Amino acid sequence: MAPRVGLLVTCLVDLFRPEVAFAAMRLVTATGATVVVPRQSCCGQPAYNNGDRMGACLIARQVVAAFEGFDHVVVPSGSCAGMVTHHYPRLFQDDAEFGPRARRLAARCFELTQYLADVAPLQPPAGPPVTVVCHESCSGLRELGIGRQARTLLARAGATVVEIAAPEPCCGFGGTFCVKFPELSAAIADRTCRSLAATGADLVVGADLGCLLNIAGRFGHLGGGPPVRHIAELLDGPPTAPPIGRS
Amino acid sequence: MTGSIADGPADFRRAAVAALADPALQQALGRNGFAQRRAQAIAALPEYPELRAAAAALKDHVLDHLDHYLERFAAAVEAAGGVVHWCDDAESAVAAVLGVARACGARTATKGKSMAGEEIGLNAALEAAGIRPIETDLGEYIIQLAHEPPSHIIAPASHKSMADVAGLFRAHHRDRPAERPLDQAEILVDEARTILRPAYGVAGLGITGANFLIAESGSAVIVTNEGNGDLTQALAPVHLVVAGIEKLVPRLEDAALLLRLLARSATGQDLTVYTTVASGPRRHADPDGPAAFHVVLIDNGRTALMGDARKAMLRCIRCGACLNHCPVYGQIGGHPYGATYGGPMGQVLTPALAGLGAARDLPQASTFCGRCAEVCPVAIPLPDLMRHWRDEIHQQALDPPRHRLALALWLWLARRPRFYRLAVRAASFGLRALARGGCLTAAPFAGGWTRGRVLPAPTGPSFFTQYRSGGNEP
Amino acid sequence: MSREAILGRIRAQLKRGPLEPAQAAACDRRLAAAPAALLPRMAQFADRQALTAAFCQRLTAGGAELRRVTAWPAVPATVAAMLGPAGRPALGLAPALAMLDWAAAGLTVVPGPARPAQPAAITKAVAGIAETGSVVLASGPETPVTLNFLPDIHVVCLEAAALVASLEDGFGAARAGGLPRSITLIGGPSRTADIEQRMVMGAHGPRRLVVLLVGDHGG
Ligand code: SF4
Repeated sequence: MAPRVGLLVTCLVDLFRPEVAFAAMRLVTATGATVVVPRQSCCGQPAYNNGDRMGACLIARQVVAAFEGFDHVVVPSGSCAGMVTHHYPRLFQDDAEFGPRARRLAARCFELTQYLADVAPLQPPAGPPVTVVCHESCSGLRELGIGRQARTLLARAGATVVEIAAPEPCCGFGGTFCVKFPELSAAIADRTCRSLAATGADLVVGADLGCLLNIAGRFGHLGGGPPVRHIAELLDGPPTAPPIGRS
Repeated sequence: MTGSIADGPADFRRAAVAALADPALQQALGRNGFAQRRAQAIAALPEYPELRAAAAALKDHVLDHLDHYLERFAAAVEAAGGVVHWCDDAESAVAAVLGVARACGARTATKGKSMAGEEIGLNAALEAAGIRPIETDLGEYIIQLAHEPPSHIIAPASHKSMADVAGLFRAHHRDRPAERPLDQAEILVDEARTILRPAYGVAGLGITGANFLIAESGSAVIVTNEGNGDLTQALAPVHLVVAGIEKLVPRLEDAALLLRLLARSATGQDLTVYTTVASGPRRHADPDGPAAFHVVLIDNGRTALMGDARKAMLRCIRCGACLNHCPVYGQIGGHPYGATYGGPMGQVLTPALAGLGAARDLPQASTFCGRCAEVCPVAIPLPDLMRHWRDEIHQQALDPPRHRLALALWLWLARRPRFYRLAVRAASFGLRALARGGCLTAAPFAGGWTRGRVLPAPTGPSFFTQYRSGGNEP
Repeated sequence: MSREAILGRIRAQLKRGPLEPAQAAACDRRLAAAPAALLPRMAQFADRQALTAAFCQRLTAGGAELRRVTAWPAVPATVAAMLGPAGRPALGLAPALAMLDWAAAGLTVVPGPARPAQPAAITKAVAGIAETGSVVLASGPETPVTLNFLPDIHVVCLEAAALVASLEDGFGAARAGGLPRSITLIGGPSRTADIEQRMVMGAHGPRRLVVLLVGDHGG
């Protein structure tokens, strides 16, 4: 029987780039799964990272309840996937009821590229022969240990993947960090933007909309730089929406 | 846009903004080659993961039995003929040092690099008491001349350029020819060497820090590349060690384990040039060495970390790797943190040492990229510990009211997915109405964002609006 | 008293009183003997030859100069040759080496602690550590510590037989006859990178470190 997959849309995709969620739905459906989008809001990171543990728990309970019935949960964002797989079990460490439920959910939850490369391998349709550079999100890299997956999928789609000269630590987004310390966030983004642009790639892709908004936002402010897209858009066939922050 | 709900905390942020706009500082920050050298050194040590785990376990063992090891350490120091001063806070630590200095009649005190000394404000206190402190580590000497705090725990003057140093030397070394060339690092180092040499012999007190304290023998271990710490402690009649209580390890062999990690993580060396284990004062037949040995043990807020997960912060061996890999530190250097310890380790430590009220901005100033925890040789989960402080800041309502309000509002909505959906729908509509060419250059409640970035506009109605209008029922 | 206050705070935070006797005894056993060391491969050697080779390679990589000397009587002449004109003024000497015939090599030596204006000092190491390429100097009546740091040139004599593999072995050798007041590991000349991260040799301590490896154990 086809696995039932719950899609955690994420709040940024919901508001800023619905295409990403639609693309993710089609991609996961193409692996033979049945995709369901339950009622949801956010994964709770804003509360969790701003000291409101109680608030984070309340939201996390909501997410656990909404998503625990699925065979798999797919998230088109490394940081939200990291929240569910990494931090939910900790939030409910001492919770006899939600602890086991959160751990079960964590074991079944995957970031989109992880799902498409490792769990339910996908052969994406051949895309245009573009040269792309991947921006790796910190949560993807360090919490989930992924990075290779995006490259595998891009290569399968026929894209040429180029790498930045030195691995950059961070794009400077950092959730609410980007509005609490906007100058720092922009300065950190500059480094990332410079090294991404220096590759000469036609396109910047990534799996975390937060990073991508920050990078595209900085490119837009500086007036230039390559177009930026979520990787799901590229894997889903020729994108219809303009690149992030452009018209 | 001003007055947005997302304005950041004032002091740290203001200092950070100034640092970003300081071209000399930015140039200095660009010179930091520590990360690259560390990577090479770690790559050449295949056993690094096991050593790191063993080091963390060792420190945890010590911290879990710290009372016992401290007592054994003190007994060993006393058995070797030394004196231990137990100090609750910076004030009592300073008083203990001044007491020793007065008792031995010191007029000048040479100092090896000591972050604990910086932490307790030792130089200012010595000066106020009429005792001249002379920093002998070149970096510390430079910032002493400049009357500045260190900007990095292992490279205190890394924010200074060669020209800055030349200017300071010209201004302070008045007996030298005014027109002498000072345009090479070698010349500057040599001048500092000749100026500082005589100081070792005349100082009545030699003060060093400690990288490790050895419980079995009552020893203090210091590592340096310059040899200044050794000259300081070998030539002064009295050697005084200032160290935090968390520096303890059971045996010398345990220091060996940590030594394998320290220099590699700090400068990428396998070991520093000098590693010295000092145990007590000169012995009966010894021809040289200090006649007296004092250890000033400092709590100063450390024990406050021991009750929960933050205890892991006391594993820190002060290697500086977390600073060298921090995207925030890399943009602004150490001074904006406004404390002895900058960078990620300071963001966790300073609230305990200086009080959470004064340091409430620091745990917030992280993107949680996780690089610090990744490179920490004793596996301190620094972002998690910063989040711990954020929890406390929120609980004590120390975060700015408008942040709290925004968070509460968001939470109210996020817990009610129907209302949330409507709010997102409205936000999407509003942002699209204000957008020009796919983005916004200003937006309500987004003042922080649009300073330095455009805000990409939503590409259409929110996902859930579109999804539902497609006949779906989420 | 602060001592009790600090100990009390630690115990309160750890939510316990003083250690139970069994736990205290376990800690004391830990103090009395180190657990098995976790030795990296670079501290393990197939034989003496490999150990000696690693020591020599790592020591010189650290900026020290190395001379092999077949036997102790040959040391003074080797030192004289190495120092050249720098060896003309009176040199500091560790009393442990006073029995060698320095005068025959044309050197004037002053056994005892370092004195100002001595251009060089000759000392004796208790061990050399192959893992790190460092010499181990222990203080004592025969080995003043000031000689290690004050002169511009530091000449260290080391028995090839005293080479050991690891840091732990080095510390062990230094304390074989009881813990000396001071133990110093030295891996090269003094240096600093405090100005613009440029490495400059000769910061405060010796500008040259010369190691004489005496005897031909292990090739
Ligand atoms: S926290 Fe870790 S990385 Fe940072 S200085 Fe301490 S030991 Fe080094």
